[in-house]
Amino acid sequence: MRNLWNLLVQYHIALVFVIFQGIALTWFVGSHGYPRGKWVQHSLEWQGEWDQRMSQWDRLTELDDLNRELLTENATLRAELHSARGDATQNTYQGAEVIRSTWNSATNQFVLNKGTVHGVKPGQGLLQNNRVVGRVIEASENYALALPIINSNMEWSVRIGATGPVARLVWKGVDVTRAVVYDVPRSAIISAGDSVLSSGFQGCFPSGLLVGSVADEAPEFDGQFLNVPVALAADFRAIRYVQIAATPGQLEIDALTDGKGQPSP
Amino acid sequence: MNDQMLTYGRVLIPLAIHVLFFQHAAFAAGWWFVGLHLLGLLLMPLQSSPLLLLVVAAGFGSTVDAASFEGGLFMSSAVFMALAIPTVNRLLAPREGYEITDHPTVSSMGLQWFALRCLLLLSVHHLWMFGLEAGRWDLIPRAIGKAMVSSLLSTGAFVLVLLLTRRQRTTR
Repeated sequence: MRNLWNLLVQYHIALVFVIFQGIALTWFVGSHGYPRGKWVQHSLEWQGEWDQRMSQWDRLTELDDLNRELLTENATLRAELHSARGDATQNTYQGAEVIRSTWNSATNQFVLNKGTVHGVKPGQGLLQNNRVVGRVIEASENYALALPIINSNMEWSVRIGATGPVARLVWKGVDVTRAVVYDVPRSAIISAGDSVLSSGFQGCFPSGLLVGSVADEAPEFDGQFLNVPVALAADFRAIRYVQIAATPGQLEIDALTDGKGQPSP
Repeated sequence: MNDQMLTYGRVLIPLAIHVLFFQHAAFAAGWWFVGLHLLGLLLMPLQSSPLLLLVVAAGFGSTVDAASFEGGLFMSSAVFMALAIPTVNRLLAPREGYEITDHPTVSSMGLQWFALRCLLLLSVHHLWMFGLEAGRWDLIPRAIGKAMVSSLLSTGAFVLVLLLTRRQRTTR
């Protein structure tokens, strides 16, 4: 307060000048037709420009909410689409936001803003606009931890083309846009650009979802198999919203398969 | 008449004359504006504080505005001129500075000093006033011309007035 007073005392001449000029110019503008007209014209322009900027800002701040609504609507529509197609397993989807993500280490992971209270369970698949992104591995009450395709410790069951061979996809830990499909039979007919789809065998995704496409690079020969380079469909550096897919009957299927792989003595 | 009364007279009489007789005085098709009240401001004591100058200028300007229905034009210009007065005084100060007995008149500071000070300050006033009055960029060159002509003619007129009204020294 004292500093403010000192400042006012120091610049009192300028302050008095501005006050007098303000009074005089207001008087002048108010009593002369031409400057009054110009002032009204300018003030209308400034006001219009200000309103437009404020409105743009409002729209910008509303985008986040709009995004969430669209995400939920997308998830609902996708579920309805599957239902209308009469899919045997009617997956349900719910939107989530990626609140933490890494894409520059060998063991990348995502944290989502949905947890068990929202019905999220470990094992559910993650999609981004119908493209396979990853899988939930842990869920707390309000958050979930997911591993994306770009985690070198994960393997994914994929099919090359709609009727092609099933193989395993692994990310090699360098380029976030590339992965490799291992164990593709040498007899398989593969061309660059062929779709790489989810097989649905892992239970976390329905079959036929896009994972990527065969890259325009020569496959490596590994004995009787080929290692096919794949360009991943999802842009992992730009992911912000995802859909969490829930397969009905997953628990029942898990219960059937758990511990039943071994022949009984 | 003591010095203080004389100072008040120098400052207030030009204002009174302007308001009573010259409130709409503009000659040469508007190219010469006679702002006699400005002579009163120019004759304010050299030791006047900048704040006092601003307040007096605002008072003079608003009085002329009220008398001539010009709505703030003269107040704004006079305040602008008052802001420039201390700077111009410093610029034109003699090497040893002003004496306490110095007055901003022809008889005290000399013809050259008064004319130059008058021309500079009137230019500031008139440039602002004619510019504001023009209100449009395309009329600014004309406003500058008017300001220059008006400043020169007013300076001449003010010098003449001071020469005619200066006190004759009485010898005993």
